[in-house]
Order: sequence, then structure tokens, then C-alpha cells
Amino acid sequence: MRFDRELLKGTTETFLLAALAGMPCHGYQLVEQLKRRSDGIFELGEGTIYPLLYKLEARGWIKGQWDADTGRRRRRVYRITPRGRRQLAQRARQWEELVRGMTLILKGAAHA
Amino acid sequence: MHEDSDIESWIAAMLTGSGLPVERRAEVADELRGHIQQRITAYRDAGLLEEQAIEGALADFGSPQVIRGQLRRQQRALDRRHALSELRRHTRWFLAVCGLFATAAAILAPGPPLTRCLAGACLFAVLLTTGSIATYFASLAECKVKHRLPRPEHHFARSCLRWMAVAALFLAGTLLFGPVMVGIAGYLGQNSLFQSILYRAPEVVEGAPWLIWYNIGVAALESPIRSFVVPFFMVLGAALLITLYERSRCVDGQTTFVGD
Repeated sequence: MRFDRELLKGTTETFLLAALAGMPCHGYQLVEQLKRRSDGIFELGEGTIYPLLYKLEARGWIKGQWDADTGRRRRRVYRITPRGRRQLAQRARQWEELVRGMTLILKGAAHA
Repeated sequence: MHEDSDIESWIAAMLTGSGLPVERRAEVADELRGHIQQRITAYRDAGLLEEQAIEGALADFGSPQVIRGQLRRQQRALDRRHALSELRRHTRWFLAVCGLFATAAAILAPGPPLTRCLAGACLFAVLLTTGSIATYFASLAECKVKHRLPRPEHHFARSCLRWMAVAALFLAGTLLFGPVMVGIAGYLGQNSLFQSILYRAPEVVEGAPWLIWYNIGVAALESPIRSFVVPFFMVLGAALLITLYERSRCVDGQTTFVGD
């Protein structure tokens, strides 16, 4: 499904943090995970996750390390940091509140 | 060969002009290369021809120009964040350094106590404003020159030294350019603040850098209109720092800003 870019703004970072909270991943795995976990609803341009990963890493929310034991090609594996987990928890709370508020408003609009 | 050249030109198009630090650029290129290769392999395994697999993988990645734009915006934001964090972290020390110079000026300057205090206040206000601005841009330049990721850790000693260097440079600048400024201002107009300083230009030229602040203090006392200069700098410097504090908060030793 195609979403309004404005609507998605900021949520992709939360997707990434949530995906990394489950297990450390490299870029390709992250994209696959996001597709699978959102039941195909969110399909990102694969390249667009890299600027976000760069940003999250600079903020100390995730940490990237080159995977040493892959045979032919090195891969950068990202892990969520304790600071990233706190950020994710905070965003999850905000998101729940937002959904609750929007649901109430939209229900009201539907009944009006 | 064909596969490699397509991928390499896509990566080059994305990274050229992205503003990423040099060493980070090589890492990102490596990372992307790996990701694209994996996607190509997945398409091949799904039964696509070589050409189709490459085409599909690059299409999935999106436009290199769009990603380059995102990276560039990201890098600029990180540089700004780094500069503001540096400014916020060491404000107290900066105020202390400015205060020290201002007190020294108030003690060393000649004249009655009120004038000396005013000279000290002038110095404090101007140091506060110019120091804040200079430090912000120095931190930005540091990001560019050193080509490093902005670091979330605390670099106390280095920042303290930088504050003091800015203050010392400012005073050295006063010594060197003060007489020039006085001369130009005197040449340009009758009613400028510098015109008043010009009366005492010989003292400044003789090489006492404090005297220029003393003279600004005297000029401010002599005219109610000119006395706005000191509060103006005070308000400007304070406004910069208050805005910075209002728009930011420090959590876990990392500064976050409103709108993050």
C-alpha cells in the first residue's frame, strides 16, 4: 500500500528500532523483516533505510559492526543499544496514545 | 562485469555529493554493494534472468538522487546537532571564562568604578555573543574537517580549551583590529559610537587591549542612545543561549532538540 509521505514521516525510525529490538540484523534482513512483520503493508525503497540507519547510529540508538565471519562479502550488522530501547519504549507509548486519540476522533466522525 | 559496473555506477551516483565523511562513504558503499548483491541473488533464485535481476534490485533500491538527498540532509542535521550540543554542554564554563575576562577588564581598566564595571559588562556581553557564534561555527567546521561522526560522548577538556581559545583570539583581535576599526569608524561618520572611542584612539594604539572596552563603556555612559549597545549585546547573547536551552534537553548525556 502507498502511504502519504507526511503520514509516514518519523515512523520508519520506529520500525527500524522495533525490528532491531527483536534481533541484530543487516540492511537486507531489515527490509525483509519489515515487509514480513507488517504483512506487506509497508514496503520501503530499500535504499531509504540507509540514511535512517546512519542517523540512528549517530544518535547512539543502534550500533553497527562489520560481520567478520561471513565468507565472501562483509556485512554490517546493527544492534539496538540500551538507549535505543528506551527510545523505542517511549515511541511505542506515544504511538499507542496517538492511535487511541485518532481512533476516537475517526469513530466520532463516522457517527456524525 | 556488466553487473558490477551497473551497481558501481548506481552507488557512485548515490554517494557523490552526499556530504558523508570520506571513511564513512567507503563503508556505506560496501554495505550497499552487499545488500544489492543479496537482492540480485534472491531474484536469480526466483527464476529471473541476470539482467532482470539487476534491474529489479536497483529499482527496489529507489532513485540514487533521492537517497543522496536524504543522506545530505541527514549529514547536515548531524553536523548542526553536534555544534549545538557542544555549545550547550559547556555553556557554564563559557560563562565562567567570559566572566573572568570581564572581571579582569573591570579591575585593570582606568577610571571611576562605574565606568570600569561598564567596561567589564561590555566585554562580557561581546564575548558571550561572539564566543557563542564562533564556537557554533568552529564545531561545524570541525565536523567537516575531521570527517567524523558526531560523537555523543563528553569532550570536556577539549571544549573548555576551545572556549578559552575563542576568548583569547577575540582579545587578540581587539588588539590588532581595534585601532583599525576606530580609524575607519572615525573616518566614516560623526555620530557613531566609534567616534567617541576615537577621542582615545592613541591610548588604544599604544597597545592596551582592555582600553577599547573601557572606551566603549565611557561612550555608553556619555550618551543614552549609545548605552543601548551594551544591553543589545547582552540580550542577543542571552537570547542565543536561552533559545538553545529551551529547544534542547540533555538525556543520557546526549542532547536532543525540539522537533527531533
